[in-house]
Amino acid sequence: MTDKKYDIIIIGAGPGGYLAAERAGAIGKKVLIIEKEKSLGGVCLNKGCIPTKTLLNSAKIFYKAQNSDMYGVSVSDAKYDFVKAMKWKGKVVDLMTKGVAYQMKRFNVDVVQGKAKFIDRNTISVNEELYTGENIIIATGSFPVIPPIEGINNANVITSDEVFKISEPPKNLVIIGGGVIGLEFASYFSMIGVNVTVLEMLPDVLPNVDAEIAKLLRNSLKGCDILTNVQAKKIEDNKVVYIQDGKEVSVNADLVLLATGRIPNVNDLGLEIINLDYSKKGIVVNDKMQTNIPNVYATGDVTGKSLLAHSAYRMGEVAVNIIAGKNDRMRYNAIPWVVYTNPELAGIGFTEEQAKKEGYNIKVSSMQLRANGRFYAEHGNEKGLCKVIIDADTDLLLGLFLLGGVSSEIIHSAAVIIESELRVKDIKEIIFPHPTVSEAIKDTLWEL
Amino acid sequence: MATAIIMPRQGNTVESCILVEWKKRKGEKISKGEIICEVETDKAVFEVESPEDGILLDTFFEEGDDIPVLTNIAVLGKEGEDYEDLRPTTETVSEEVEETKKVSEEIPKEIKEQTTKPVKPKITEDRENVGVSPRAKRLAEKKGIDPYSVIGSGPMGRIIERDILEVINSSEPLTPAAKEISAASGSVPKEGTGIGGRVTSRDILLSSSTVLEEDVIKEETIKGVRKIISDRMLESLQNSAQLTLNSSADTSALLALRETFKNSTLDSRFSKVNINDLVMFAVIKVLPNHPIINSLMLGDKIRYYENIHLGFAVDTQRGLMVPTIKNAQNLSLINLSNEVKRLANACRDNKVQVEELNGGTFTITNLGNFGIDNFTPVINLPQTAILGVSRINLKPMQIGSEIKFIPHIGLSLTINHQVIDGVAGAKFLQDLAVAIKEINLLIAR
Repeated sequence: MTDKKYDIIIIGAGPGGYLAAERAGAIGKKVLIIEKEKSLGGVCLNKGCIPTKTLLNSAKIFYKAQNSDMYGVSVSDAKYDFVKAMKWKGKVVDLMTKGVAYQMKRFNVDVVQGKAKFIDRNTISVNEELYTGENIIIATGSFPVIPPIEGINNANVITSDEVFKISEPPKNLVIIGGGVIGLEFASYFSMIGVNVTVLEMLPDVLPNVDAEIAKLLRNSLKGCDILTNVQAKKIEDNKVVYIQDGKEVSVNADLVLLATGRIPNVNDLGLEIINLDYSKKGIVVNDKMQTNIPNVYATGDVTGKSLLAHSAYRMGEVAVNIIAGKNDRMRYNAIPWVVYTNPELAGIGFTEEQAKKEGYNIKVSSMQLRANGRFYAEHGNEKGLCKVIIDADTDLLLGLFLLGGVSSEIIHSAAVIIESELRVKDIKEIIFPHPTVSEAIKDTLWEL
Repeated sequence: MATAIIMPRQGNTVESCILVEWKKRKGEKISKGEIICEVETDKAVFEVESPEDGILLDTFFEEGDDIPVLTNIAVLGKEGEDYEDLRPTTETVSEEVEETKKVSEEIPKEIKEQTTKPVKPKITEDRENVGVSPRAKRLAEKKGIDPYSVIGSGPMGRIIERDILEVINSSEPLTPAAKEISAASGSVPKEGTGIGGRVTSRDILLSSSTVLEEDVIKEETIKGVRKIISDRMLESLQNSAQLTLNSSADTSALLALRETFKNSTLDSRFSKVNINDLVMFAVIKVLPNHPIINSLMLGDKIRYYENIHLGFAVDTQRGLMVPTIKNAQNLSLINLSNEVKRLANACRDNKVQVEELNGGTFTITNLGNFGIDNFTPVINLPQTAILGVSRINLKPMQIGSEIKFIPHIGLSLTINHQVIDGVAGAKFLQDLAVAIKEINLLIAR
């Protein structure tokens, strides 16, 4: 019998798991990672971040090819080959997941495929084999919510998990849910010529985003019909019935994509056996990623704290550092997020509303990106806005939102600013490269 | 020929000294052996003597300057003599910043040795009395540290440079915003919650305010049994004049009896009689002689009870519960013991009836199992008293000419002074102590 004792057993090989495995392996810990799927990388690499960004890139190129006349470029006969784009996506995913497998080998991490279940606080069973670990990290991720709508089990209804399996784009797509996932797919499918309708229950899309910016993004998503304050009622073979202002309306749909949020994967893990503190909202952890059981940690989506791959990475690092006896803690106030639509929307920290609610005395400044040379040269009259929220008492940055262009590549500087608590006057001393869209951050702050 | 006065080398590790004070002024006549100036290393102050007679032609440094050892600091000679070649060049005086760095690089070894020694914590009144070396003061000022907030490790608690260095080296950096706030609030935690342990503005605000760190990972509504306890306890303390009397009782006989019960083959139920049962039994026997203790206070009336409805505290998962043994005076010791166990289990298994939790006239609570010596039980209103039973301790007693250690059980009686006076309570405790001491007779009666 092989030695099945480990320093750390990690359940789930998504971002919250595999990075923890790498970090732990790198400091000489004996690590086992358990993944129920064949391929490592979790939702992020297989069904989330990476494949969607690959497809969105293809679609953005296609869109630009058709819409660059004013820049002196006209392309006739531009074609979007769905099958080829999917093939490229497949190649990217394949390389990335193999990369994770390689990293596991490099850091001597054992990998087991199968479903994990707790036997006791130190013992996990997989495929009827028992493994013992001094420490356990639960990183089982999340899964899409299926809302109770009539006809939800129809063959034409899919979630983001199945969207990459379709063989051809639909003609009419209805997306239920106007959150990040819903809007990214709306942007993608509309750019490749699909008629897209988004149905959102709330008064606006992206409920956690600054209202002004969310509205602006909504208006700049071309070719999508985004309906708010509506409720999907029934799904039929070729249409979706929804309620708007108390009346039943229907919209054609040969495909329905559910994007109504994700919930933590806490079921069938035997968490109740070890008396773990958890609910369907996730496993309860402190800022050291510790659960109520001393040797058990949880990272990533399963904590329900921040459903983002980069949050999961950091949580994994924190958990490993704590296990290794180093001082570390997870901070949630400077986590950037991005909506990879066209245009992109990136943000960090408190919205104007949230900051007020938290009791801050705030100053707000915003700037149209049209005033930024680089942005105007490359994006013309496309919508673009930078908005900052400042704590008037301390002059610290509380929130920053950037709509337009590739704002995803710029937002990390706001994370640095918030993490290091630079005041507005300190930020003004930073030199930003010219000409770049990033200068908008400094210029918006300069007003204050 | 003019003679240079040099900064003396004070030991191998000292690279520079601070000029504390010039004892002689430029142009003054000096005799050999006279003190020219005082210099200070990080450890002590030294005097620099004149090597010969002469006139102090020039001094090259000001008081407070940090000067590398073996540097010319002054010149001695005859009036009008040229001494320019003795003036130190700027190169020989290394930059102040560099100097500080060099010293700080060398220090850690010493700090390690130093920190193993216990250092007496500094008390604020010392502030004026504790000295701060000029070196330490200068470094502290430069780094924005209040030197008096540091514990000195020098002679007589003197704060020396390495104490300040230790503070600098052991603290995580402050963010710009934190630095600004710390200037106002003063207190700076050694380690913060920011990136890399940086001290953030919030850390400073939290360390100087009474706001609890948001470490709470669970919040629950106070409800059910907890809510009842919460309301009752507060109500009790707010609406009565509680006073606790502490005493103890000789348990030699009680422990011996318990031992007999345990080993008895007469009736297996005897083996389950425990110390608490025996104390409760004693209480039941003593209470009739102290009707005021077995009473309820209802508005402006005291209601005395002939029957004893004895409540006792039970610790359950849901919280404290107090079931009541009705007409306890009628029960034999074994029946009492059985009833206590039945009710306690019913509480723990959540099977207790509401009526079994009501109607008590006196209550007993026992924390003896948890190593408590005495405590202040809270009265279960409208009852007027409650007895707290603590652990058994050996107590030295003078018996004849000998000192003997006799086991005693702690008794704490809380009385509502509105209706029971201290003496009445004390008398009850006194009788109870006798009853416990002579438990055999009590049972025989």
